[in-house]
Amino acid sequence: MSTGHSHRWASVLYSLHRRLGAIAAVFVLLLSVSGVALNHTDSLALARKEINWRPLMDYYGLHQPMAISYTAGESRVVQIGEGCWVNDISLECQGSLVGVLEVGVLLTAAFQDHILLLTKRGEIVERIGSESGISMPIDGLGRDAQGAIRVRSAAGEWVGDSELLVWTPTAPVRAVHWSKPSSYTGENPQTATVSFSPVGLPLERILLDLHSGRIFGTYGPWLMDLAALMMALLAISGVWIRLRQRRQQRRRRRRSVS
Amino acid sequence: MDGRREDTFMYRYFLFVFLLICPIVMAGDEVYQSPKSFLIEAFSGDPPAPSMLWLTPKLKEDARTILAHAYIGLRVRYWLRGGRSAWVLEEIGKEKPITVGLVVEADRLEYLRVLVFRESRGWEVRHGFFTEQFARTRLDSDLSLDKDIDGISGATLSVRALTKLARLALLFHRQVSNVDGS
Repeated sequence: MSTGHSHRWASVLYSLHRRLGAIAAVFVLLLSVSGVALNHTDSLALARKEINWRPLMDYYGLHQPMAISYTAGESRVVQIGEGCWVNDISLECQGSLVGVLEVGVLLTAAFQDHILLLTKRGEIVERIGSESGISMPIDGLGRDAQGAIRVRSAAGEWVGDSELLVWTPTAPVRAVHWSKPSSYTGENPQTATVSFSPVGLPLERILLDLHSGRIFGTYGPWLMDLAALMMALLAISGVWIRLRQRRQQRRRRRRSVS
Repeated sequence: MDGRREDTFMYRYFLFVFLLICPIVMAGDEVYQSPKSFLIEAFSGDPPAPSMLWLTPKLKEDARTILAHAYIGLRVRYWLRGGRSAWVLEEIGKEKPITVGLVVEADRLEYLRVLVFRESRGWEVRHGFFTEQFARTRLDSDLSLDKDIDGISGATLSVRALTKLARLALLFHRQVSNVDGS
């Protein structure tokens, strides 16, 4: 290799080493601080320490729950966070409740991305999703003048048959009574106690997610893999630069002796 | 390389990282195929009207044996034509439900597809190399599959969820094909 060519290579490598160093610095700090802390999980009691910082809680989807209540006939359905109460009997639910109607002996509760057909004792009869042909998210549940159940979303309206088995797209009509939320004062103490109790995020979970990159979502671990690759390149370029410098020092010393 | 060029490089780098992280942070549910499109494909473009299977006490008990918990719901929606049935079922892998479409014919699972995956890990189960293992499987008398399904390391709970749903669809199909007489 000619001296000019070697100099050009060295210049590129020095430049690459400097840039990689600056880029990897963030990841090195992140990994080293979280790594040391996780090595001492028990002594630092990380699992017992809870973080209640609102933006982080929102990012993890732990929102301060708000009560949404609908009344249908004699029944009432209340949603607080991911908990629902059908006549004060609890069941798990996901997404926001957008309407409740009585259908014979059953209740129809529409959430943004599905409909629950329920008994008045809170048993789920069926969870109706997008396989029914309804385009989600749902934003309204109503009953038309003929007594048929209608579901509304941004993509249109659907009308259900008497068993709510077949949902047919239909043109919007005016004479629809859309289910509206009713006021809820939290009179059921069990509902209020269970749902409004503050929940924090364990510090250990946050550090583990930071260390693995999972805090950045599905592809976060790939980002950390990229950081690891950068650190490996830094190590290789660092050793190479050190060896080159030593060789040059030896050459200079030999020249000065001769 | 002069300082100005180096600065430009750094600005570009931070813009790149920002653009890389944005979609990562916003990543949520993965919809691989909509249930509607799955049904259209299962019945060559013309799916039949849905039917309803009401769960008898015996069927509930068998479903509980398969799932290791009670089936959520008292009735199950399905699509049936000429002895071929399609099912859209859900089961929780670790924390969130995985939506799976399954097609059964002559008491054998034709194929299954992962339609919506909501978990943060274990998504490898959507790949053909894994789901193809379920093709032509049948239900044994003890409600297990007649063929061993190879797992995927790091996706054990998702594999378990899909296996349970395959068994459940075969159990439900047996019920509706008896009623249907096909």
